[in-house]
Amino acid sequence: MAATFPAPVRYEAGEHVALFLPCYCDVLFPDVGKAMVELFSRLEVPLEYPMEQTCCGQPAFNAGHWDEAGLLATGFSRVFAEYRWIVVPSGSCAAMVRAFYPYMDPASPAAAVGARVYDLAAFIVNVLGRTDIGARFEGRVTYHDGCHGRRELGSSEAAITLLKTVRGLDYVELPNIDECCGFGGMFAVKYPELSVSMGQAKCAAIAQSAAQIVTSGDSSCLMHVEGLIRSSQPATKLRFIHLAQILAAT
Amino acid sequence: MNDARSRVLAAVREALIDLSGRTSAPPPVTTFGETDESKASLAQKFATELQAVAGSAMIVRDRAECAASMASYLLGRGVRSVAVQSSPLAQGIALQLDGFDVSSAVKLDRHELERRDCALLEARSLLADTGSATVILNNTQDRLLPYLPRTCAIVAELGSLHATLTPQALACISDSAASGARGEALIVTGPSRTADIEKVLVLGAHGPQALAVFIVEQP
Amino acid sequence: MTTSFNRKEVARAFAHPAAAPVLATTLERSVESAHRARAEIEWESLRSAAHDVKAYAIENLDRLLTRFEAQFTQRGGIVLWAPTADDAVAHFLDICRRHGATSVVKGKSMVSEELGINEHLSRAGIDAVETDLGEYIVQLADQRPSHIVGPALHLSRHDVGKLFAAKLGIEYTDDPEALMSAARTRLRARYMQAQVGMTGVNFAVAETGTTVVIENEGNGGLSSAVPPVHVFLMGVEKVIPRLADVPLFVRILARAATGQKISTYTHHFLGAEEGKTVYCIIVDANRTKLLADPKTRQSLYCIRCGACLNVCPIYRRAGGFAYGGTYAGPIGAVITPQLTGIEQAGELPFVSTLCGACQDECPVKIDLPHQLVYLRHRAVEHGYGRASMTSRGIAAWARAMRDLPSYRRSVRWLRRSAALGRRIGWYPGVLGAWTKARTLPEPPKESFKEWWERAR
Repeated sequence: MAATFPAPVRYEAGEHVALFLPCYCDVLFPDVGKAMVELFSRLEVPLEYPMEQTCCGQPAFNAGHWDEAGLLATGFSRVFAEYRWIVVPSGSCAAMVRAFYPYMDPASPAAAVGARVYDLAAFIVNVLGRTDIGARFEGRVTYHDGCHGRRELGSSEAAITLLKTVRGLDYVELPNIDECCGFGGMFAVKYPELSVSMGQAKCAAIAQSAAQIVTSGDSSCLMHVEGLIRSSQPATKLRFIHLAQILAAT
Repeated sequence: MNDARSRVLAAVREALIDLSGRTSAPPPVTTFGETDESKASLAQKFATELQAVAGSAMIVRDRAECAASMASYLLGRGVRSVAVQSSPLAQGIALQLDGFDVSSAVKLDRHELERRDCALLEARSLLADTGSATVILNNTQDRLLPYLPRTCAIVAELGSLHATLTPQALACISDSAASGARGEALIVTGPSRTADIEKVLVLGAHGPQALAVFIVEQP
Repeated sequence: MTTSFNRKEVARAFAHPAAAPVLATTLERSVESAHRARAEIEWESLRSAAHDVKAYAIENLDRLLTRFEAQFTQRGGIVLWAPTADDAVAHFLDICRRHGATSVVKGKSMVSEELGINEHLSRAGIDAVETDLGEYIVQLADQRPSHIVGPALHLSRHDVGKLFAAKLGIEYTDDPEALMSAARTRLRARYMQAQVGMTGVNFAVAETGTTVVIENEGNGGLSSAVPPVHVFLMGVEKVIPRLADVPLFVRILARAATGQKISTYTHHFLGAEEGKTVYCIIVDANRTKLLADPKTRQSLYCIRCGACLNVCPIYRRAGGFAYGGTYAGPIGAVITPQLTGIEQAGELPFVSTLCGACQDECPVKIDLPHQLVYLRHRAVEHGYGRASMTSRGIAAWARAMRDLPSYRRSVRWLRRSAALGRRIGWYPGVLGAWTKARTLPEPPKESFKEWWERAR
């Protein structure tokens, strides 16, 4: 049976935090996970990585396969049952467990665990109560706001606040920041014309911002936009870096 | 027909079965309040808002001045014939409109109404924040007035100006509805318009192309 | 009537970029205009209040419907009930017969579009003309409306000019004012000839039996006032509890739809005056299916403002016809599967990134993205797409993710496939769809799990 915890209060120094790393980050962007380890070490927050974790089930959920998603949710809740705090470097995965586990089944253990999951920026700003985390990163950086983080979780402000405290970082706002990049999971390959068209609009906005670096709380969005740019402009000097990696930099 | 009624209502009740046994109170009514602006200030605001939607507003001292101002406006629009709503202020102004062919709408059939150049209506209230006028139309001919003629002239008392869609402004509508009066209560804001072709604004769609409100300080 | 999401239409919208960018720019302006108009008022609290009124109305629908009927009848109106679309059509034809109507003028009514009423009228030898300019245009063009508020926005002024020249015999012009004038002249005659006028209903007030119709052109006023018989056609969900609730909706509808502070005409129809016969046909046509499921109930709150269409990146690119039915955009994707059936419209909720921009725009705060993902679930439950590659892929993948050993096996398989794909320069299926316009990231040699085990 999952442990129960009292209503969330402020994080107490020394409490253990579990890292929930999106499955695609594990395989394709492990540096994001490493950056999380570095960052939390610098923040003096004990970070653990429950090895048994696989996937939160979002692809199944989005595809309408809620039976499969439910099974993965149950598995997720078992893996993280003992943790009071769980942090994930992804707005869309955070939204999946925080908003959609309860949407599928409000009374489930998964819903209870989901409520203890935070995306990275929200965790640092709202839970740890910190905005300046001693990061240093040189460059003109623009932030792509993933839709789930923005709309389900309302975490854009936290991410941008953090970026603005990074020493040496020149933050430029992305035009039409509220427009979807067009990734959308399976949508990207089921409706590639629409997906690519939306991504191209995002690329145009990036060009307009004159940023050198594009960051986001979601590697999935970055993968889609970077893929488009590298395909159409192989000589591009643009870099795509996850928020965790910027915040971990000193 | 009864069977159809039962079927629809049964389907609705069946659909809501998960809520049965739950009583819910209706949410509080959202009302919009008056401001403490003077009528004169509201009149200015009204004029600005109406102009913004291609209407015009004239503030006049009394009936005589209203008639004079209206006559001038109508001449400018090439209006020769006017159909008047069966309401006191409109009829009163109409009596003082010299040099025009003026008839009560109720005396005209719809073809004759169609040929009239201008409709003359009375607003029971004015809404300053949108430049809107509330008109109560209880018979068929009056109901045709706001739409058929090419020009629409509306008279109103300064005292009927309100800040916005307040309960007081809409009292004429709620009273009509409660009393079982028939016809139509209309809130009209500027001349008719459309943007159905490429979102390009065109005035004078099916209704009037021009609309003017005459606000009478001392009716 | 509809087929599953019309991918040919989507392809076509891209093949003729002239149309799509025009629509997109137009809609962008609509959204900017709407945002400006909203900023002038207490938008957030008003939309919450509107949501709550609609919630109450929908949750007490049976009681409010009977109250509306009693009040409407008391004021000289005749209420007719239509469990199905066919019943509604039958009622309307019956009314036309009873009053010897050979000519009908129609104000804007999405429901009448849904019922395909014009075809039925035409077959019965009754001449029905749309009077809303946008609807008039698409009727002449023998097309469906492409947008809830601007039915002809997919056509350029040049298109309309050519259409009018061909169908109305006027000299070609692409000046919108001249085109409107041509329509006005012809429609004047039609109002005068018609025995029956039909309009939709924006809000039906239960407390007083008042029907509220909101428009800009004046054609709703004319359609209801000129002919001796006026028929209201409305879905069951249009009922609101009190007359005092109307100002709230008046405040938000125009701002959300077009960025205007208020529409030109806000009609409150009080009851049949002498010499007039007034009917109200109340239509279910599967709305009770939306009502029956607590997770789809909110879609009945819709006030048909079109704001979700204007902001939707999919709608802007694909246009209205791609949705294959009466209702397009996010709201169309949500209600069409229930109204017309999952077999026909089950794909619609899948054509979305679930970005949620629609919910941000919605003046009654309908949880559209949640409904979209829920309807995907309903579609899958229903067996929709069960045999598809996607479906089987998801099932297989979910099995692969069930525990760590299985996960590790899948990662090894993925790496081998990716390496193979890179060597032969070709990727099958979904990976192929990705790589057409996007590069694939190169999977690092060591996953995070592998690094953690090694280095920690």
